[in-house]
Amino acid sequence: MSTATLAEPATGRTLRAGATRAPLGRLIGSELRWMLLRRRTVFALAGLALIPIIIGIGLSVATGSGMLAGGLDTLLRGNGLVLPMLTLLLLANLFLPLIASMFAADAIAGESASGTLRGLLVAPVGRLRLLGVKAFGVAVASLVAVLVVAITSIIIGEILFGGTGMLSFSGTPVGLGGALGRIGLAVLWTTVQLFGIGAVALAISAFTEHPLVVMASTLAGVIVFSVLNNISQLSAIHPLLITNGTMSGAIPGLLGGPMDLGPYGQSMLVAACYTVIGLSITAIRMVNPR
Amino acid sequence: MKTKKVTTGIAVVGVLAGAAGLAIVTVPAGADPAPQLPKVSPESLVSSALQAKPAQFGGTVSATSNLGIPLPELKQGTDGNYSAQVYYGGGDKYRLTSAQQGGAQHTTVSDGSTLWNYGSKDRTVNKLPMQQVKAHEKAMQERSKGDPVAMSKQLVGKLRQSSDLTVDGTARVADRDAYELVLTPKPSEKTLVREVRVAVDAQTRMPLRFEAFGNGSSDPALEFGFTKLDVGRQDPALFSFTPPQGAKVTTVDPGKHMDKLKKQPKQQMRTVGEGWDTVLTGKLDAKNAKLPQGKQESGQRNTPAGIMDRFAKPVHGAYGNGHLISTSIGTALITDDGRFAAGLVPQQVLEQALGTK
Amino acid sequence: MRPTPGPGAETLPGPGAGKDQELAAATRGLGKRFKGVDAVSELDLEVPRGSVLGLLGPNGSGKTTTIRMLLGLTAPSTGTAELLGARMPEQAQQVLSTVGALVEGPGFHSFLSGRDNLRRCAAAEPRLATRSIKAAVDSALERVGLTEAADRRYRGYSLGMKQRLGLAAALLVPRELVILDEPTNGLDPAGTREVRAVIGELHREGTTVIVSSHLLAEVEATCTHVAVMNRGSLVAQGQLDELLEAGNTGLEVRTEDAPAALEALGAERVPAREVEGGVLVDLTTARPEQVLRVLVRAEVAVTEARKQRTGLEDLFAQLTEEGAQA
Repeated sequence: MSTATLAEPATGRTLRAGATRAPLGRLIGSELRWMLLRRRTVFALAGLALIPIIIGIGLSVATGSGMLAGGLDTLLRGNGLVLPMLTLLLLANLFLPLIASMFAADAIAGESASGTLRGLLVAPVGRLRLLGVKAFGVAVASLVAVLVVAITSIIIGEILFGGTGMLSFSGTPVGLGGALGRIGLAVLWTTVQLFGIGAVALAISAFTEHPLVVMASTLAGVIVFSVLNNISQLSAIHPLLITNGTMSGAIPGLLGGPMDLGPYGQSMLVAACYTVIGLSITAIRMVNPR
Repeated sequence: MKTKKVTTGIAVVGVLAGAAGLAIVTVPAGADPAPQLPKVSPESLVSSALQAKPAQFGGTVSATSNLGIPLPELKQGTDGNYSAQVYYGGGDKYRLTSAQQGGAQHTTVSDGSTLWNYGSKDRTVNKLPMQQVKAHEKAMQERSKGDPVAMSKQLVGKLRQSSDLTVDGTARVADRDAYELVLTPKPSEKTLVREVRVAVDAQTRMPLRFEAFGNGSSDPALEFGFTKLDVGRQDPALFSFTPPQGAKVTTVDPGKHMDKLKKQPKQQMRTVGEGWDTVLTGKLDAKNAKLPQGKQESGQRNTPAGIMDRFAKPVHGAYGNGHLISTSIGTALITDDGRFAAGLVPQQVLEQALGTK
Repeated sequence: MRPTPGPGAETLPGPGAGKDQELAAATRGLGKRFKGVDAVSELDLEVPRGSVLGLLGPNGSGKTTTIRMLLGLTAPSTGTAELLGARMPEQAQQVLSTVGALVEGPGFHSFLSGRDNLRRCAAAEPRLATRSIKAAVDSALERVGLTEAADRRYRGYSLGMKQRLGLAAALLVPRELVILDEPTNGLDPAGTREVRAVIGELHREGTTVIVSSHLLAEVEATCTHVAVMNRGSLVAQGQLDELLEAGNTGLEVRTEDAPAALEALGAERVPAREVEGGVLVDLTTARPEQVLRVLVRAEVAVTEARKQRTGLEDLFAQLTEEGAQA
């Protein structure tokens, strides 16, 4: 495509003659700036950063006073790098999905509510391109949320529990690099799980103009799935539920010596399937507007 | 209009592909077609299995119970499954890791000269020098219950006299070709067990799966075997263990330990009958009033009285009053005065056994 | 103000030919059904290039739905819509970069400043080079008089400021066509004048403008063409002047000496009657020049003569009477 430019002396604008689509990088940059730098997101991420601190201090106090039953106490003692694994696992149940659904809700329903979606469409940003930008935005925002949790957890874990590296479940010491690698795997896993939920939330987001509807229904879905996950009579369908990921032992598997990546890979594939389904439904809705 | 239709079409395919992917990813791959293998006689299969020197392997072993009663003791991990990572490095080298409640794990490493037990729950190390372990090989067999190799060997040996042995086709287990060795109790046996199937690896001749079927059920009451198996050289680091800093290390004298274990049951238990119809009888006392395998932290719910109330049926007979626990492949009867009988048999056989002095 | 885009630089692909090339927007039998109700039906709208078209109609007459279909925001149920020769919504991508739009009121994020909102719009603007986003935003803000309020949150803007920001977004790059849906909604008289001035400027630059409004004065003051919608159908369209004069056959002649005028006209068999301040001449049989010649020859002192016009208000009332009663 020719992008010859013509200068406009009067306004100082330079035009890209004949261009029919804005550069993708520029769109993505604009999307990320809007998503991550808005005040509410900053507050949400700051709140998210507080949670590992609270959990860490709570565990530290409980460990000192012998209030914790067996496992956690000894798991964390001198083993601070295990804290990010614990907090990610805890938050992946409800808190992080809530944040992911918030991003997905803003991405389409929120833009629709404020009337900015039609602005983008007549700019024009192609509908599929817009979906791509939105999905990428939700993915990056989810990753940022997960990183906020992981990094605060690493810092607070090191301060409160100490240790250089990690002690695996089998008593094998893991070096600092290996430990950070395992945390990296946990970050990747959590992000992929969140994106699976976020993609479904994005599909809901494409069908409504009310961001709260998206958040409420995603949250309701996560809670219903968690309840189903706890009914042992339904064990046959448990692997189908994306919430099963947190119970499947994917993160504990990373603490093993050697790592057990079976549940990890399995739950990643399940999340990938949810992502494909969610994004496909969003695409159907995007190209078939009412 | 055209691109819109094409996009919609692709997206619909995407939804279907995602759903199909979910199905493929999550449905256990049990429907593998049975492989074509050269015929073998049951005798040669059994003997080759008994003689096989297992190659190095690493894999996942899991057990599923479908006994028809909610036995919490068998519900470790999730979904009533028990699973463990098993690595075998040839000779006396092996490693076994199993998940425990509360996110902790138990690891056993045998490095050839020492048997290490590590519990992440309390970060304690138990150390057993191998020489002593070998002297108590029988005790070792008890300990290594989790190893299908040992388990099938025991079983095959014991049950040969009372069972028909056949090779009933082939199967795919843990992505490997296997023969299905079937033990069917002889018709004269009164047992509740319909058949026991042992899948034997066609190549290494190691048992891959053990299944016990009760009468009138197509699902195994007990299933135990590999869900994942890689045969081949294993990382030597897996078969060594160094106690981590700050861990409490205790050297265990297996002699003492085992003697203690043996004493109690010997005094109070005996078997009645033979083969499939073997019944274990005895008397519970206050000290020993826990179910076999009962975990301490499970609390009071698992005392005999507690369990009784939940799923045992009150019965009475010549032995007085008692409670009967029946499962699809076995029953247990406990009288109110503390005597008990258990076996893979119907209620009447237990009652007879209780009457035997 | 700006150089009209060079012929080679900005040729737009499209299937249009002949007459359609002269049209900035055209619809044929356009219709839209929502849940069994026709919001728009059988609409044949023609917007000549370079015109300022006022799309007039009472609230709920289908103006916004028509505009949404023209912009490809919604697909027509029947008929076709073409914008700058491109079929909408199928070929929307090809032409929308040269179209500026303010539809269904200004749409911005309340938590961002006016400038940040505009920057976000500019990022999506295909024809704007990345390095001149800032300049484009600044000049658009200046053009609508929002430079001082640019860094305040949109939440705190008055309705008029919001409306002007919406206009600024439509003016980020030079356009061939600007579509403004109720642009003076909520504006005070000064703001309305500013919008009119902007429309006038665009018109002088050669940009086609479509302005929808339910306010008659706005259309009368700024438009060259007008299309009137009622209950989803087009009831009239054409040049504003023609439309206003259509159906009127009178020439209003102001004179101190009405009886003399009547006499002179009567002699030439031109029908006329006396009205306050002069006479009203029926033009069914005579042309205005003729009438004036007669009067001049008869030495009647004429101070003013003009064709009788229906006030737009009357026209509007006539055209939408049915709707008003319902």
